[in-house]
Amino acid sequence: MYTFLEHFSQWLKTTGPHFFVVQNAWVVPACQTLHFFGLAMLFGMVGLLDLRMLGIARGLPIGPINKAAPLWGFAGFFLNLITGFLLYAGDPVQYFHNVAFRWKMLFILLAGLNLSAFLITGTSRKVDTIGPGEDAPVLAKLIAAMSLFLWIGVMYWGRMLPFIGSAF
Amino acid sequence: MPFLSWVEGLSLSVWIREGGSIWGYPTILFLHTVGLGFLAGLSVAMDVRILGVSSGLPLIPFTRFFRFMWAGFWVNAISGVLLLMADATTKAINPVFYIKMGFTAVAIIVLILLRRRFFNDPGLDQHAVSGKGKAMAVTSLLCWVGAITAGRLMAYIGPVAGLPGTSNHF
Repeated sequence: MYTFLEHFSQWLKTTGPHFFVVQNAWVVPACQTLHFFGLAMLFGMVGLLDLRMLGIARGLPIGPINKAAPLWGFAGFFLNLITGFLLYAGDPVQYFHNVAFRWKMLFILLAGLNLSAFLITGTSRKVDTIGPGEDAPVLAKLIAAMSLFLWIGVMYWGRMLPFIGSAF
Repeated sequence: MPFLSWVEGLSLSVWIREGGSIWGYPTILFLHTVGLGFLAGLSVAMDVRILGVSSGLPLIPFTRFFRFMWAGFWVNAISGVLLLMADATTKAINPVFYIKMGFTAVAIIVLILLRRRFFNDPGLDQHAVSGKGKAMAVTSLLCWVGAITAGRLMAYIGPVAGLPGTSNHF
């Protein structure tokens, strides 16, 4: 896996996306800006759902939030997947060796597993029926707290790319 | 300008900028990002609800999220002042910084107006959202787009601050 990813990163340096990023000075700032839009969209929606499951704004039924969250949240996530890929393609070997980048990817993976747990354990279906004023089950609260922790962690590792790692 | 040089030379500013501590520049910048997530993130989510997304959600309970948005605002006001102090001679003369402040100021005024003029209607969930409410939500959305864009471009346009030994495109 390690060597595969290393080779992939080296190969990426010979491809179109890499040259697109390095030959156009506006691409990196544009991608970074869009990456922050995605951050606000994803974290805003995740925060809304997680805070409600933790008991904030109990007047809101959870079902409609849980229905809107995938569309809005994934829109932000995909925006960041695309812009993140372009930023990676601009300097793949640096990112590959960047410790903060590895932590960031790990935290995103864990956030994905946390989301899978939310779906697989049936918690998502259970909270769909929770109306105004009702409390979410303990498992939903644990998953919500974990989700907030992991996404704030993703922001932490992203910000640490140039400091703990060596980006830029 | 002597005043900006004086601010930038304060021991706090020097420590943030050059101290090399993870608790200086890196942590302050991280807190500024988390504040953005809470303030702009929740504000934008609320705006799209006002504009008609997930109309099955009652609006009134959204007032509970305001304290998280205000917490995000204060985290960012304080971390923002610290980041400005650390690079006062460049950031404070960068026009992009004032564009960011303009967008942020309007976004915050709209947020206050939403809380006082829009959410204070006890019958809010009994009728369709007013044109004024929608106009405020659109203004808020556009201002956050502007503020985030200007904030990001401060690292690229105008006099750009530079940590020693980096190109500082943070």
